[in-house]
Amino acid sequence: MNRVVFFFSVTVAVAASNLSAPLVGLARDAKGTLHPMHGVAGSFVVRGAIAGDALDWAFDTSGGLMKTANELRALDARGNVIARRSAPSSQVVLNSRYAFFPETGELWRTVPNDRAITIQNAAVGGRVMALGPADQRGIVLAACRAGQLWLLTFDITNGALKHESAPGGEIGEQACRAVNGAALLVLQDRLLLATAHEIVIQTSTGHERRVPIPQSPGAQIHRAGEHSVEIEVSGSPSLLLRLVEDGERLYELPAAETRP
Amino acid sequence: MMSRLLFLSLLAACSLPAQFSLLLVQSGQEVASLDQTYGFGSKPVGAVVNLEFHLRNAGADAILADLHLSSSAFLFIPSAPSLPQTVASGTALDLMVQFRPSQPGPATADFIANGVKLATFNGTGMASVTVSMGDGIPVPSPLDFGSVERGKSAARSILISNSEGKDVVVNIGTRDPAFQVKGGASPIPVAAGGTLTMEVDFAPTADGPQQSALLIDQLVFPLAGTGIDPPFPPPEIELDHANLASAQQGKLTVRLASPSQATGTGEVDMDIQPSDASANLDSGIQFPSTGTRTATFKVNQGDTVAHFGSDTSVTFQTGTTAGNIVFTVKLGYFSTTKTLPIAAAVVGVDSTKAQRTSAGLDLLLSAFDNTRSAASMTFTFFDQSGTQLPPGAITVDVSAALGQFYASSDLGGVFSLHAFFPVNGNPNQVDSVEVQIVNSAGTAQTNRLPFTTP
Repeated sequence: MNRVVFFFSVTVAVAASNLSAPLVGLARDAKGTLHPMHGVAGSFVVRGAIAGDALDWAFDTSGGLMKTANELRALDARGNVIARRSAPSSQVVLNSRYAFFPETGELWRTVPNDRAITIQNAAVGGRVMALGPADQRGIVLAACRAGQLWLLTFDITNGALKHESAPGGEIGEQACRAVNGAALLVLQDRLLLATAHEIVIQTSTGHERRVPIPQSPGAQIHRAGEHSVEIEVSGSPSLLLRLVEDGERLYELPAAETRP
Repeated sequence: MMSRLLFLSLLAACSLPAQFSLLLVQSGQEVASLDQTYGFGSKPVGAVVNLEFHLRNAGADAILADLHLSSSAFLFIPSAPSLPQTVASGTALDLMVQFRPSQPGPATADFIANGVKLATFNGTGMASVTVSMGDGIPVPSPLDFGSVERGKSAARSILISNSEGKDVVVNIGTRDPAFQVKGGASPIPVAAGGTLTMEVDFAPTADGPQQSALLIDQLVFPLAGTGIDPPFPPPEIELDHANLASAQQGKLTVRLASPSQATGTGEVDMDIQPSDASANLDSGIQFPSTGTRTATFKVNQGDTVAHFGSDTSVTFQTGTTAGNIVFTVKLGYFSTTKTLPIAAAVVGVDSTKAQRTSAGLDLLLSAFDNTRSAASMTFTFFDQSGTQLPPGAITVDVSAALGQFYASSDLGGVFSLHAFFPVNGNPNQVDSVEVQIVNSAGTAQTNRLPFTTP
């Protein structure tokens, strides 16, 4: 019988070095500067700055990526910039670890080491809207084909198409009408789409629900943390959608404090 | 020899009066009178009329050593020019002459420069009423009504006396509708030897200094007053939830007891009176829209609710500290408060992440303790069948570590715990963990947290 034994047993203690300020995620202000967001859901403190000129970004507890005009920057789990790489100024689609350049079909990973594969346009067969979750086997690309949303899983070692499915529902129909690419988010257990007045959420079981947001034609959503999605609405404070097991909760995000 | 030449030169200048001439200035143009007579017209006694003149020197440079008017009904304003002074060749001295009849009948004055009469002024004083304040003192200039709230008025009483031997009819009015004469429609008869008391009201419809004039026949009495905002109605604080806990967001609305007559801004502040006076600072207690504990709002005329930007409410965060959150609204002269009690609560677990590594088990837990009293954490591990794994529940004292952490934190009761559990054996056999945290309010227990393999 194979039993596990904990070495530390009762002798271990929690030291102050085991404690830190919780990082809920990151938030981007109206000027394009990324800020760390400390605290817990409902008690956020946005303080300091990570980097400016963030054109696109994604973050979870494992780290993140941000794109400036000509650079791709990798972030660690605390939001620190740990790698920088020159990048084309062309359109990019990000998740927290990968960057996809639709013009060339290149899929980049910068951490733990630089790696790039090419995904053939013919295999995509449409406009890439978002990058979904990735693991050692594959990565999901959300693409519009003939006005319908498809989720395509590609092998991250050779770029081969492994699986494809159409999520259907309202998201399946509306995602391709989005005015910007940052309106769609593909997560492990749900799809999110920002429309002019609500966030439509489709669960992995196909059930759809809606969270109203202030009216805005070009709302953007970004993965901001492990359980957090930032909603950027022009003319209104940024919002944070907290993803919990049984649904979502909407919060107003604090304005970035001026002090460091 | 030198002083003699200077004396002769001065004498020569003074002996050339004909080089000066007096010209009336009308609409910026000089107008000469052929007979050197200028009429100031007819004015009621006490009224004034001003005419502008140029004393022009058409000859060589000359010294003006004397200038006067022969009757006190005419005078230089604001004052007679300083003398002596040199009037250069081809230039003119600008003069303002006022006719102020002090009695009915014709009045005449000679205009004399360096001993030479250059012109004659004439005018006629008309019989008229005299005007004073209600208590008989002269009307000040201006008659100041002070600061008056919009929507209200201030009054001044004036007395019109007819000391003439006959009945008169006076026309009375003002130049600006903010100042109104009350007490009868103009024209108003005043019997010989009689008096009439009138009321002048200032009722501003706009903010700021305002000027006008009271006109009684041709008598002009400057009026002044300042319109100011009326006071705001008393504000009341309304919260969307009477009971809120830590780590929640609520909405605050500032309502007004009646439609506001004033326009302006106010502010709402929030502060915490922690149950534990030694609790560290809690930056999570704030208005997200400002990132601080102060938010400003605007009130417009007619509003019954304050505006925070385009909204009628403002979001606030309760933070992670037990105690009383006190909201204070300041609007005009008013200040009102409302207290939101935040009860002490068991530790709230916000997020967890349990992962297996090759060397053991990694647990990341974000939580908050609004009492700052968490004393112990207990970890219990389970296998895939749900059986508790040895050595059983492991309890760890966290009070010292948390106390040290809070001492350097200004984020209230939030903390993130990163615990690593080395394993002797196969970590894959550990399926899940339960965490219990004990503080003064009780025991918080997580769900069974499954370990994942990245």
